[in-house]
Amino acid sequence: MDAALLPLAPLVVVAGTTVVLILLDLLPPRTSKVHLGVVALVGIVATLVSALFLWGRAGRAFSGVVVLDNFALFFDVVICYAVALVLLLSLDYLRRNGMERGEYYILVLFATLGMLLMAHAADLIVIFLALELMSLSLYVLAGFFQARLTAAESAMKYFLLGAFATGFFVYGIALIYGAAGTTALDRVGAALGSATRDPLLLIGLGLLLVGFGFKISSVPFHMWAPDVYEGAPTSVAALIATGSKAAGFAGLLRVLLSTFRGAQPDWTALLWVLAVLTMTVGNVVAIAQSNLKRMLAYSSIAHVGYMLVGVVAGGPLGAGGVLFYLLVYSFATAGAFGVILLLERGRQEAVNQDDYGGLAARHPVLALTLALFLLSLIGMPPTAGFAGKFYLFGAAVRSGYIWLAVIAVLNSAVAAYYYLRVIVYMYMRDQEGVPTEPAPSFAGRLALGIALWGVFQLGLMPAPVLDLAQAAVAPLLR
Amino acid sequence: MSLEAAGFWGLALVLLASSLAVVLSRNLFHSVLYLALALVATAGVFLLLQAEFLAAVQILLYAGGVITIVVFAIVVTERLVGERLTQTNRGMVTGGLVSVTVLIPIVIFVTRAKLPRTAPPLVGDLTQAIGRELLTRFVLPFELLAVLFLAALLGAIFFARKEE
Repeated sequence: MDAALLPLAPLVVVAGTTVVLILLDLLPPRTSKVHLGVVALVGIVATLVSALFLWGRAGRAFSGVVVLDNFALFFDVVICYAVALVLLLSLDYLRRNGMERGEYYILVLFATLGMLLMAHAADLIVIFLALELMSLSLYVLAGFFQARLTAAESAMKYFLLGAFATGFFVYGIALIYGAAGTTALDRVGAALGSATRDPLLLIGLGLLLVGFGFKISSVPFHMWAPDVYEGAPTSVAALIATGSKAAGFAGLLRVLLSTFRGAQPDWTALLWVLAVLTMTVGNVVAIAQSNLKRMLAYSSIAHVGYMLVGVVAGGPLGAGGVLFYLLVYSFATAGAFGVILLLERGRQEAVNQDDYGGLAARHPVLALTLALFLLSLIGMPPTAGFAGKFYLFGAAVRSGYIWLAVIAVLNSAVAAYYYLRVIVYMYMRDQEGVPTEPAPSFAGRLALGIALWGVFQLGLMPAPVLDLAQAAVAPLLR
Repeated sequence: MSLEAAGFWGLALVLLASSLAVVLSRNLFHSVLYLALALVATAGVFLLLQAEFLAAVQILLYAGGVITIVVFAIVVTERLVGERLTQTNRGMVTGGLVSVTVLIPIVIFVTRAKLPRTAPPLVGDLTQAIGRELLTRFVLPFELLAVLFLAALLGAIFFARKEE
């Protein structure tokens, strides 16, 4: 491979796989598209391997608009894991819903390319293009089950609100360009260094935060999440909740920690408020949900709040904690969505908590799997959720944000209520009416197995990965 | 008042008035025509800033492409629905409130910013410079745009294609 392309190896692999998929889609067989999913999966695994192989290297390419550093590579790994789980879950899920179309896998890979690009972007224009490539693919995927009434609502809502947020984002870029005379992140940072309180740069940053806030669904830009998750195919909801959120944090962290470090007091105060609002609104509204997909949507909003706590805390501990938490959260959330996706009740997806009554008696392994994912989301030891929260809140305390840590811990206690409620349904209630049955999907069970491995690996031995996460944020904080 | 300033304020007035007319007129077709006017006025502002290329692109893409698509959309939708489409303004109060809350901080920050009093000098052929930058320094974003369009095309075909 050309030396100039080496920093882009993960991106090149994904882009190449996408092209192969587009061509393969034209060839027979026309009825089954499982082979496309398998090729996509091979591509993602190759991407993961290339990212691991590149670990420790640094460099820039294409006049410095894309960058290779450990920070980008860590996000590559998180995103590849999330996408691989989603692809494994999709293989059988699409056929069961009669929507086995090649476009699905192609769009998932396009979205992945956007996510990876966001992690590698070192120029505001590239960040914008990455954001759009990811979002555009996800808008289509959200409405993929055309026959469902909620699909159109989901896709339209996501598209309209997303386009609105993009407008804010571009306006922000324009103002920053107006103030700094460049879109390259490092030179914007240099311009900020000489004029810390340039109003144009600050309002530009504010508008960027609106765009990022939408992508990571932080309050008050979270309104779309529950409706979109509910109407989208469950596998796509998992992708939006894990991969696209990770990509949003990649862009957000690079812009805040590296470029706008000079304005840290300004954005820390703002994010403090956002973190508290996001945690509290997410958790309180989640209590009222009886639809599991909506509940997980609000829960994902709450988890964004916890991660914002880490961003506020800053430093290698706080920022490294966010990276670690993203990995932990992705395993548990993709796993929880995965169990929902496998379960059917009378030809319908089992999304209501009533559908889960007595599940433990008839399918003890699956019920235990879901229970473990939910316990990890609560933050119970020895699951990874505990380690993740421990590092995040610990970083907040060490940076002197005692109150923020207290609010976060109280929020975790509130969250335990709605997660445990599902476990109570599974273990202590009886099933009424048609029983809920899991689909016989080997790939789906493999995905759950991998997610479960992640939840315990990171829960029992968090230190090595946490060290990697802290090493990953080091180039940003230098 | 210099000729440039007079031109700017004239264009600003046209731009504001036509933009307001876009949201206030009840006839959807009139809205589109006002939108075309607003987009052409924006091209005029670019011309005042000596950005001829941008002005040309603005007219070609927006006044030409986007407006045509919107007109098509209105015609086709009216055919499908079988009635005249009118614009409703039920959310006017909340929408206005949101606009004002966004506008005020932007105005405050922009007026507080130290903007250069004189335009920085432009050297050489701007269009040539843009072309050179696009294919050298910004070649990756330029190519990414092609990828983005491919994804958009694929999505559009997916929704438009009938089930076989």
